[in-house]
Amino acid sequence: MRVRHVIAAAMAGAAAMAVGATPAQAIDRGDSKAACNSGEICFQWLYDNFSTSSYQRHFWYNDSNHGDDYWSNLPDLSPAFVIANDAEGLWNRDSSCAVTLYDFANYGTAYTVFPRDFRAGISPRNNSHKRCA
Amino acid sequence: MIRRRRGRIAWLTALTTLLLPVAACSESAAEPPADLAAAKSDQPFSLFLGEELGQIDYAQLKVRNKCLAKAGYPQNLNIMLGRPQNPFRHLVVTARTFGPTSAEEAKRIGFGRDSLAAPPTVLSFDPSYDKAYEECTDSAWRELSDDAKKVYYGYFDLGNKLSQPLSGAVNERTGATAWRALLSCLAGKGHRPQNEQEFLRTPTPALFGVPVGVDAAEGLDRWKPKQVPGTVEVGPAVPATQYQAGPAESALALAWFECRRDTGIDKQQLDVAVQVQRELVTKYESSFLELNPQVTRIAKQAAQLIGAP
Repeated sequence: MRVRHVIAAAMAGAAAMAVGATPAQAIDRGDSKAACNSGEICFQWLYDNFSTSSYQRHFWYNDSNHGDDYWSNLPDLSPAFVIANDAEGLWNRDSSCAVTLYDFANYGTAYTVFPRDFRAGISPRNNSHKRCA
Repeated sequence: MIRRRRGRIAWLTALTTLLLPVAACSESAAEPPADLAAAKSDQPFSLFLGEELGQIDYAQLKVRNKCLAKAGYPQNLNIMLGRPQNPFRHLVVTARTFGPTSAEEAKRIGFGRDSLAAPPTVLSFDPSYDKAYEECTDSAWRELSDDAKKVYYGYFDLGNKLSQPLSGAVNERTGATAWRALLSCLAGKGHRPQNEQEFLRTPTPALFGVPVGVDAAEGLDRWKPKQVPGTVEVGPAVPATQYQAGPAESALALAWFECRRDTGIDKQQLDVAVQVQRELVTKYESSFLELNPQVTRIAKQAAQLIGAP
């Protein structure tokens, strides 16, 4: 955990050394904006109660494979990597549905159900998610 | 089998006997008694009141959405599902939890599942809606009861405490010997995992290089709203879909079904699953005793509030 925080700090502070662009912002299936807005299902890499905006990923619907979903809202030139098995926080702002997280892609093995209007840290076991499952 | 069933009933009776006096002490005068009769089944997780939790959720949604409509935002009320839904359906552990249960099922549905319909997503680009949403959410919880919100979130927490360890514990206790036997049988039918060691750690059909359980409703995640400031936008509804496995998934699922049956893993896994459920119910029995009467009471109040049967 500490290692991950150090990595995060290094990424934010040493952008010049970073290697990737930010393709994730172009394919974000939420609104790509920094804030987790009403109606969105928001994942965060290092959970801080969503008080910071980088390394989040927002969704409006289900997603069967987090292995092709990249973190967005990245600092400039920060490396992009996928959210699968790497999210530590979730904020469910879907106004109708609880959201189920699955251990495997394609909704294999339900692991956690997040109620509406709720945010918390999660164990980083997430490969797909579904609304009103 | 009869001896095993008697053993289960004896265990559950013992648990019920153990829990009842404590339940009686912890109830307030207004609280209905803890309904531990559910423990009489072969599924200890049937003590978890998922249907009642769904009723509370549905009533809070309905009251909140009527409040939003009164404030000029009818979108949420218009797209509501017609009935409550148990958010923890996966806690109902059956033979199907572990794979197809017949050759016919294996061929048609493979490792997938038919999907329920889901309401459209409602997205706000209107700060006035956001303010009304917060106010209506709070007032709807209070209308249900003073403690409804706390109990609702507390019960989700309990459901997740049961859900999270279940699959891993069942796989681990079923044991590497059993999984090796399954692998050997599958190999005899021409199916080998991409990584045997990974399979022994996490025995899932997803490791055989065949797309399994791919959702027919996939594609809605590509929808994008117009995002006009000051508007509330409603996305497409998610229809119920009947899953149809592809040929490769059908072939693997059929072999999986036959090998689980022939090696006896199907029965072994179900027995282990009952043991694990029992241990988890025992571990969290104080939560069941505290929350079940409250969930029962609030679900009843919720149904009365919205005029549900």
